[in-house]
Formats: sequence, C-alpha cells, structure tokens
Amino acid sequence: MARGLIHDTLRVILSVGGVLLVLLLAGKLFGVFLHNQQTETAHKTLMSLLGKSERLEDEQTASFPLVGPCGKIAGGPLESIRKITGETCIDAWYLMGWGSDVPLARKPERCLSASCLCICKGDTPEACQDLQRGVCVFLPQSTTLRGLGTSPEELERFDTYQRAVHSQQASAAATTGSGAIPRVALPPAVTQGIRFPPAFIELRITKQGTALMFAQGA
Amino acid sequence: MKRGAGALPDFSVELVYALVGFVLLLSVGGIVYVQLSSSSDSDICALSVLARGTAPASAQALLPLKCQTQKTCFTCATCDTKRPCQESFAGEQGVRVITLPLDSVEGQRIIAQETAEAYYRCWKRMGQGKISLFGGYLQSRGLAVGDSVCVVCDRLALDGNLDPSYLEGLDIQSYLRDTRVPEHKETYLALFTNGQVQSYPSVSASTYSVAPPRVSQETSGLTYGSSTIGRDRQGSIVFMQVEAPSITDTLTQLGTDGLIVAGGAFFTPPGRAGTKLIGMLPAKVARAGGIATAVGTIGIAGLAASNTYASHIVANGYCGNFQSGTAGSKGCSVFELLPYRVSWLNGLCSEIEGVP
Repeated sequence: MARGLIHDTLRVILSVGGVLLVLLLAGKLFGVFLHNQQTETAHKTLMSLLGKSERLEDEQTASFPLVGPCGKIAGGPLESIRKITGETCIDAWYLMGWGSDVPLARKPERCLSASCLCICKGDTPEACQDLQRGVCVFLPQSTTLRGLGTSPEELERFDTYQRAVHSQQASAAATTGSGAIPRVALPPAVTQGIRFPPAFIELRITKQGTALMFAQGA
Repeated sequence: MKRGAGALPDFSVELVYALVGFVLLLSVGGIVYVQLSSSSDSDICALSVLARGTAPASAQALLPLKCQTQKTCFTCATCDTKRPCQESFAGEQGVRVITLPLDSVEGQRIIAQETAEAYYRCWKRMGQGKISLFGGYLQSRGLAVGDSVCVVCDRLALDGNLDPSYLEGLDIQSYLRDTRVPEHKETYLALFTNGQVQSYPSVSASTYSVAPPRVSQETSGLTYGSSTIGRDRQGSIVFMQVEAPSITDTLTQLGTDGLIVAGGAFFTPPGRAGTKLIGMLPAKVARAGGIATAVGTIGIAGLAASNTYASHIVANGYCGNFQSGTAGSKGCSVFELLPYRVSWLNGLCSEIEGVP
C-alpha cells in the first residue's frame, strides 16, 4: 500500500517535472526569437546614436542612415488596417529626447534632471516613462536637445504657466492670508519626435556647444 | 513471497526508466540551453531564417529575423589605428577591423576577397535565396500587396584616411566571376546564380569609390569635409526578397479558408448551434443573408485578384532588372552590394528586417 503510494507519487512528480522542463525549454527556445525584438532594436539603435553623438566635436555634423523599431503584425488582422489606412507601422516608435533645460514636469520621470535620449512607442513623455514601451539612455548632464522632445516654444509656454501659478499663489496669499494653492490647468505637453518608418531614415546630428540638434533627412 | 519479490523489480524498473528519461531530458535541455546561450550572431540568424523558412507563409511574419548586420572596417597601418573607420562606424560596437598592407595591389585583393566572403556568408545565411522568408497571411490570400523586404547582412567601410590607390582598379565583379569559393568547385558568381550567369550585372565598382570625406565640397546643402562625418566610403551587402503569389494559389488559399470556416460551422458545437439559429430565421432574411454572402465572396475574390495583379507589378518593378522575360513578376531574391546610403537602400527596400 505504502509502496504503491510512493510509486504513484514519484510517477506524478517525475511526469510533472518532465512536462515543466519541456515547457521551460520550449519557452526558452521561442523566447530566443520573440523576446522583445522591438525593444532590442530600439536599444541597439539608441546605443549607436549615443556613440555617434559622444564622438561629435563642436560644430560637427554627423549624417547617417538609421533604422528603428517598427511594430509590424504582418499576417495578423491588424495588417489589413495598416494597409488600408496607409500606416507604415502598427506600433509607432519615435526618437525622443529631453535636455537638462527641460523642467521635470515636461519629461519622463526616469530622465530625472539629466538629459536623456529615448526611443519610445508613442510620442509623449508618458510613453517613455513606461519601461515596456520605451528605452532611454542618459546624455552628459549639461546637454540640451533641439529638434526632439520639448521645443523652445513649448518651454516658453511652460515658463509662462509657471509664472501664472506663482503670481496666483502670491495674490491668493495676499488676499486670504493662507498659502492655498490655486488651481491652474497645466497645458498639455506638445512634444517633437522623429517617427521610424519600416525602411531607413537619414538622421543628422549637429553639435553646437552643449546643444545637440537632431533633424531628419539630408 | 513471490508476489512481493515480483512487485519490487517491476516498480524498480519503472522508476529506473523514468529516472533515465528525466536525466536524458535534462541533459538535452542543458545542451540546447548552453548552445543557444553561446551561439554566435551568425548561428542565431541562421536558426531564425530556418524557423521562418519552415513556418507556414501566413505565420512567417510572426517569427522575427534575428540577423545582426556584420561590420567590417578596412584601414591601413598608417591610418588612425585608435579610431578606424571613424567616418562610418563612430560609436558603433562589434566592428571587425582589417589592416591592409602597404602594397595597394595586395590591399585590393584583400578588399575584394573580404567582400566576396561577405557576399557568400549572406547568401548562405539567407538560405541561398531559395527560402521564402517574408510571407504574410494577407499577402498569401491576395488581401494585401507585397513589398520588397531587405536584410542588411554586412556593412563594409574603408577608413577615411586610406589612400585612394587602394581603390584604383578595384574590380569586385571580376573577383566574383573568376575566384573559386573555398571548399567549392564553383566560382562565387557561378555558385550564387547556379551557373546561369556569366557576368554580374549589378555590382557597382563605384560602391566604394565615393569621394572621401576629407575632400571639401558642397552637395545638397551638406558640408563634406573635416566638419562632417557620415558621408563615407561604405558599402552594404543587402538581401532583398519580393514575392507575388499566383492567382491560382491565392484563390486556392481563400477557398481553403472558406472550407475551414464552413467545416467549423458544421462540425463544432458552437458552429452547429449557430447554424441551427440561422435555420430558424425567416426565409426572406435567410435569402438576403445568402445573397450578401455570395456578393461578399465575389468581392473578396475580386480584391484578391486585383491585389495579386498589383503584387506582380511591384515584383516586376524590383526584379525585372535581374530576371528576363516575365519571370520577374513572380518575385525574386537578390543579393546586392550597395552604397550604404538612404537613397540607395530605400530604392531597393520598402521594409528592413533584422538589426542593421
């Protein structure tokens, strides 16, 4: 009786172990092909960009072909939508970046107060904040970026907003004597990004002092 | 006593079988894991090509091609050895550097040899151009128009300080035509074309012969010269494939899909329940439904025919230069040495796969 129980238990353990092992191996094998292909492309593209920007000297321009991630679900039903709407990629990936001059409220939290260059599935700071949807690398602390992320006009608008908040705070404190914070709507962030098509783009990076200027096309 | 003695060996034998099986499975698993972990980029690429090649056309696009572009830099002993091919590969990882000898003739031979070997590697990794790699469900059913898809196998660059004499008389076509592939009886050209082509029509000798970046000149508003990097002497070996299924194939596939749906409706419990429900509909509604289905079927078949025709035109546009007669309209696989420039690359490729 006891021997039979041990026998059956061992059988079950070995069978379950075997099945688990097979599943683990199958998963590993499949993962080799499928694991984060787009994120991997994004990461490699970003590292190459970082390397090129780091080697630029003042007043130098680098111009080179670049391919980024492009989510294609060819073969699936979404492909028909892509073809009908003329969309080139199902998942729109963008090259984004925020310099050290951009306030924290206007860039992904993961960039902190530093400068960062990102490739994200979406053209908003929120998209880049999501670790599953964006890859970011840090640039030298004082770097400012042009042509990506937050434009100078947007920075000016944000500055105006902040001044409005401060002046309302001051007037509220003067009239009510309390430090109540007035409600002022934060204008939605308008960001600039370079969208990756399924083929190559020509990317141009120019260094001027601490500024890096990004532009697409020759 | 006998029964007890008999039960123990039975159990032991079963247990030993199970244990041996488990250990074997564990060993195989371990070997596969170690192999995959230590596989080179080239092996992983070849494996992903095989996986795609053996998958049904409609599922191919779901399997990513894990092909990383190989980078080779030709530099010279007198060039900047700390930053070779800075104009092409600045900041990039995994660049193989080949220092050319001072003898420019020997240098040319090495450039031609490395280029030919890169061609061969690409040809081999991509299934010798015989494997269909970029199929899609909709395309196989004629519901989408096919496009040219490329993999950039190799990037080969010459250092900006390399003396122009290394390029004078560099003849890659002749090398491909006249040189035998190591461990093969055929020349590179004969091997790539199954011996059908005697001269290579598309390898441009000027691929590497772009003015070096230190020559100062203005082109398209961009400054060449010491203040610009990127306009370099760099070539790329590109594999391009475009396919256009025949109208018979697309209609057969659509018909098969229709039969599967019909089979599902008749032979599965939810399908049968649905069929019963349809049977309960008023005759007029059922007739209208039947007409709508017939019109839809004809519409889909018409769309498939139209898209297949469009795919043939696209394929002929890309392949007509490489194939004679109407063969080009069925699609082709092409290995090309192109300057690594957006205009050239996008001229051949609508989509890029792999990681350049």
